Amino acid sequence: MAQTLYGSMKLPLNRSQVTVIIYLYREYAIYNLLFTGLGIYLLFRYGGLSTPFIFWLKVMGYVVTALIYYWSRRKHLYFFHNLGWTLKELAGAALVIDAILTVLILVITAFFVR
Amino acid sequence: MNKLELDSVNLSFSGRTILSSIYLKCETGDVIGMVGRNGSGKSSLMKILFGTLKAESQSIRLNGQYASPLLKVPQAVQFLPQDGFAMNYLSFNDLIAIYNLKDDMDRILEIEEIRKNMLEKLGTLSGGVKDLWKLSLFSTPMLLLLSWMSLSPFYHRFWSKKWLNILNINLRKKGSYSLIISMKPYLTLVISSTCCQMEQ
Repeated sequence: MAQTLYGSMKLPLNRSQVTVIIYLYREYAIYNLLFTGLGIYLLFRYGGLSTPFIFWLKVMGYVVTALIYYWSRRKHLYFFHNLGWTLKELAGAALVIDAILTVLILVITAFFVR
Repeated sequence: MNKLELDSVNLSFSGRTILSSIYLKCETGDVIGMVGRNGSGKSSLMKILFGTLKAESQSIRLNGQYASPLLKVPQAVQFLPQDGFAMNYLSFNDLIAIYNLKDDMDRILEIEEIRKNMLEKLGTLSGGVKDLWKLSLFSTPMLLLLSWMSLSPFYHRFWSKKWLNILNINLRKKGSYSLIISMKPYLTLVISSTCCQMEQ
């Protein structure tokens, strides 16, 4: 029954799938927000010129976060797999959530920088 | 009656053959135990069945139809690892909601240890109670994969009895799915109806 509800990534996501995504984001949020915070600092310090650096910083952040997750919490992946989510879907969802949040945070920051 | 077949599985790591031409069939009501030494491929075989590991060649059929990965097939399979089946901050109520098991509450609440600890977080529970949670939550798929190499509760008579009851009630009597166990030989023999030994 669980997999009928959770096992598909087709849009629009239902409430249960959103809950799973929140659990997923909670798993790696702290590590990832560190890099986003560093991006905010760069934006404050160097303004719009820092955009390419922020991009590569975030890419590096994804890699570091994925490695930390793999080393420390790999077994939690079974929780998501049991709900019908494959590794590709999890990685995709993680990237999308973080990209949206990063853009939102940077846009708000840029507003104050001006 | 559901039938799962795993066929022509070949797997090797760094030139070392782990699994070679494996064939496995489970039908509703089967409780298949797998025993073997470390590195004999028990866990790898389970991961291949589940869909988190891809073998060099493999064929998985569910009721005659190709199904890979099996974890994407609704209600087909669930995997219970030794630990890490859920995050420590989740409570039993959270898990009931996540797995949408509200209709099964009567069955689940028959277990006293669960009734007592409904609001506790997973991280605060003892290993035995955690294991009871796992078995209660994952009792609806056609195939339940248990991978426990050193299951402490089984060494205690009380827990053994408890576990066997749950297994019997949830697995055999309902008869809706099969179970594969991978752990210590003695206990696997007690629980399973068929036992396979995997050799290196």
